[in-house]
Amino acid sequence: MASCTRVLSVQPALTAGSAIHSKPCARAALLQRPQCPRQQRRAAVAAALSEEQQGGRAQDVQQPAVAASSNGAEAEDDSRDFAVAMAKIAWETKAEDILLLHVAPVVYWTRYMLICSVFSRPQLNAVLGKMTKEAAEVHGRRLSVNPTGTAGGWELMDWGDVVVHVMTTEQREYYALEDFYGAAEEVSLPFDQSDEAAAVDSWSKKL
Amino acid sequence: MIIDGTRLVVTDNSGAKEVECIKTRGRFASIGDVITCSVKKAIKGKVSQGQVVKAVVVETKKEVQRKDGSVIKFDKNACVLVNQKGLPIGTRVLGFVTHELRARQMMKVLSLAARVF
Repeated sequence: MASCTRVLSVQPALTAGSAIHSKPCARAALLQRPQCPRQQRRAAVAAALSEEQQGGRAQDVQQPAVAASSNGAEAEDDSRDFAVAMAKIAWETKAEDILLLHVAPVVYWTRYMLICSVFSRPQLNAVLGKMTKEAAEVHGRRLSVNPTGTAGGWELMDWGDVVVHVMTTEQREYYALEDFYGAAEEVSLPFDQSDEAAAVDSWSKKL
Repeated sequence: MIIDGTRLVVTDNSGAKEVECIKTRGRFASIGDVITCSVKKAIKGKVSQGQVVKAVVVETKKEVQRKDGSVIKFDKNACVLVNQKGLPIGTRVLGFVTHELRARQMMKVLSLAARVF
């Protein structure tokens, strides 16, 4: 069968790839059919509700937009605070190359992405344990599935708006996530990683 | 809807080009399911022809119904190769990926994809 490259839905982003077919539910077709009494009652209720909403909108046209934008800004700030808190935990657990990226302009499925490197499985487990504990106790965020630390050097924690990648240095070099999300803006962190690295170096030299 | 014997296109840079499903969990596999495959066509890369590998289904010709009422389907059946621990074998996902993978705990595949729907 010849492959069809026609896009059924009107989605501008999909026309370039032209390999995907997505369509909304066929409500228009349903409306053409003769309606049963139950459907007629539903349609009457829906029409009444829409009239009420339109009447209310005439008075406060500006307010919903303002409220939505303020809510969005608050959510953005909350995500940022949470991501920075997770970065701080990684720093306290001696993780290195901590990178916090604001990926919201690049991808739609998350806002902030934290990438950090660890050197051993105990350190990986320590980072995972501290982050999940802090997120649950301080920020009230729980993971749907707790990471096990047995996934071969790349653990991922998904809090929806914040995604944390804890990787070993080998895995980080191999997948090069920071190169892949190179268009994302880097967020400055409230601690200096270079000082910490220099302190560790000097201390190890003394030994 | 992937069953035993279905040929799938590999949409990552692992080196495999086409695989055949040899084992599914349940009667059939859909987007987000992990299947066992045999590599049928491969170029020089991290896998070779005849090797048995695990793969995550990322595109299916059979439509997937979403809760918002929309339906999504693709031109081809496609997959991404993963190892036994669920880590992608390739470093980039070149084709389409749907956000159903997030609910199936396949965020690593999602993170490496450029086109997420």
